[in-house]
Amino acid sequence: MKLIAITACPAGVAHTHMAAAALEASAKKMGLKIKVEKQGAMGIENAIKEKEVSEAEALILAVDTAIAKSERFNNIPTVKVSVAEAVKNPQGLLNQAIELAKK
Amino acid sequence: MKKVLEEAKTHLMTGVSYMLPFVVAGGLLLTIGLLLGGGEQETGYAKKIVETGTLIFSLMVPVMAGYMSYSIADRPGIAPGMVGGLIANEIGAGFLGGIVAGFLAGYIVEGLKKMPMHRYFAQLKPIIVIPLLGAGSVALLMYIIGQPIAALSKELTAWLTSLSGGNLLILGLIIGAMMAFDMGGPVNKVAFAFCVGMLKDGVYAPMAACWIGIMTPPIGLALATRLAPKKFTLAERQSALPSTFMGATGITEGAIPFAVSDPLRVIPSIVIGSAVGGGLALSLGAKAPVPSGGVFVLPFFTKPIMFLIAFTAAILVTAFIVAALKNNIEEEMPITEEA
Repeated sequence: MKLIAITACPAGVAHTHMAAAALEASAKKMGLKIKVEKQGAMGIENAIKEKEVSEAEALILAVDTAIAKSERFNNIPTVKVSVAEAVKNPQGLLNQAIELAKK
Repeated sequence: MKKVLEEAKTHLMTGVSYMLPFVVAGGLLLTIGLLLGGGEQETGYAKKIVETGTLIFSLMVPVMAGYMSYSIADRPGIAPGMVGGLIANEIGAGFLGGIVAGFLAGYIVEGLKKMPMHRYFAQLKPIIVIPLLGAGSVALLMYIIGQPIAALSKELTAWLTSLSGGNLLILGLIIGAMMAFDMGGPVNKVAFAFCVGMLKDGVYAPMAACWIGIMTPPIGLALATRLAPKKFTLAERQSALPSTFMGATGITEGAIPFAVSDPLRVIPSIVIGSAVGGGLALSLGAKAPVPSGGVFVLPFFTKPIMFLIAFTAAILVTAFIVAALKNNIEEEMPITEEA
């Protein structure tokens, strides 16, 4: 199962990175492949590539602000939550994305 | 309804997010200029630095409104939003006006985007129709509905100013509470804008309370993770040090990670702590002539020792209240090493 995710918070210095780290760590534990793009104070970091978009089965948006280049993801099943949710409950969020991808 | 509110919050936070670097740039330049003596000078390079800082501040509201509108209507929203923010500045409607301008511009542009149009004109839409009709209608609306907001803004400032006479304690309480309430959000920025405005008039006391409200939340919460480690997650405990550092350098946003996971307990704690400290600082006669720089500009405060006493009280009150209010948590497995 391949997933993609974007994290973004208002200040773009703390939560964006905490959420990304939480998702990556949980995905590793669950044996999932995930690419997490961070849209923080430095702009886009670890950008998701076009190929990765086409291979991905679901998109997780853990964001409190509007994200850049959202038109890339028009056709992908998407779970959208606040960035805090990804920090608190990354595993639940990944399960939610898997459920969505199966439909 | 809840969804609408949440979306509105996203738009507002996007605006604030893009505005922050301008606040930092303007604030630091203003601070450096004042430290070099630019406050008293008539001309000269230090004065010029102060003026540059205040000039940069004038971009705050337009940028916030522009990117709120961007959050709603994407790229074509930026220009009408910035125009609305500029007018909010112009008529004295300040931050409140800027927030209204951002929403107005965003929804108007979103409407214009969906408006059916003859195909000959469709191509002109993004380059002529939206900039003209979008910015034009936002400008018109802002001149009309902006007036009561400007009046409200002036009323609020006048009220806060009137307090600075005898009721320093109350003024300090209010500023401290407003600064801590949303940790860098619009309420915080209204209070901050008031204190910066007072600096320009040579009134330095409000900024001392402002500083308490800026630095207390992240540091008080960091201390609480040490007082009651069982009540915080591993990630929260690990963020204590960076959070302290952010507080000391004047970045209240360091408190946000704590607040989002438990707002009903965290926000009252930091508001009460900062209010107590703000009131105390002003009662003890502390004044702060600089709007940025954190603990590093402390030596330039009036009565820095009194300020430190109030600051310490604010941190302790915050930490004890939050430690008392929070319950022990069930620790899930540790999730991050490097966060």
